[in-house]
Amino acid sequence: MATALPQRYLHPVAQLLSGSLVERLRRRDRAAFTELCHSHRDRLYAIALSVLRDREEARDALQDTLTSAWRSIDQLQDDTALGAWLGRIVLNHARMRLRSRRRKPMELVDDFETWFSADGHRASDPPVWPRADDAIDRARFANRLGELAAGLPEELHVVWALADVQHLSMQEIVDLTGLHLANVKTRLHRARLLLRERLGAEIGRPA
Amino acid sequence: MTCKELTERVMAFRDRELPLSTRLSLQFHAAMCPCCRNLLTSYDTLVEMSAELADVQVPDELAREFDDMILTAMRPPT
Repeated sequence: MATALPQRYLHPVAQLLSGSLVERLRRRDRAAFTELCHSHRDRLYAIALSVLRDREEARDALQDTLTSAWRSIDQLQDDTALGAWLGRIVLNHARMRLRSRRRKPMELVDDFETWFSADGHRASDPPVWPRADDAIDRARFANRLGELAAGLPEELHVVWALADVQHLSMQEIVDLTGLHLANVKTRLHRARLLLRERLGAEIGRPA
Repeated sequence: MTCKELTERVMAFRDRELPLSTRLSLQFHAAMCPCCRNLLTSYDTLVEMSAELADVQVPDELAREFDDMILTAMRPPT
């Protein structure tokens, strides 16, 4: 069976005749779908990996994403939203995997309010963070940070992974999660504070 | 400004989203409070360390099998 050439290899006139990528996808054009998957592969895998922190699971989430995308391709609206559409699918699959992995209660749910006394000052001095100049120490701290982040509540973990690990913009995170910008910021800040507090307790020295 | 108010505003401070008066108030508090100075520096360190967790390379094995993954995705459901 002859395989259709990817759109990018076609003469511009042939591209016009063959329609936009989204039109081809709606016609369930297998070459167009292959082209779409390749052009978004790295980003989708990176999103899955930043949330799951496990290569095997990220690979499986990517496979689930491709399958869901092919099956729901008729829901596509326009060319410009392709990246966000795929991003939402991969994020959903990664979150489902994250949830199924987490059967034990979260260990990192600290109560922010208890850090402060009634007058708004710290109830006790938090540990002082060491300077992580040494490359080995820094790598060790970063690894431990990844482990601790796995204990964050899911809604905080996902936003932290997308913002601080994957370096997506606030607007991209809004598009992927469907959250309001203010909620994204609140969750990110809370995740950072919890991680800082918990990691500080392990690697810091008493104030 | 209290430690709690400063803690709530660290991210906005870092992202330069605070009005000047709040920014100055925060900086004044931090200058007086070692606990909050520690928070400001460690918050930055944490964000830098988080970025180091990014795995930018798609594994070779996944790159090799990616076409098969696409074909699997396009198979009719059984």
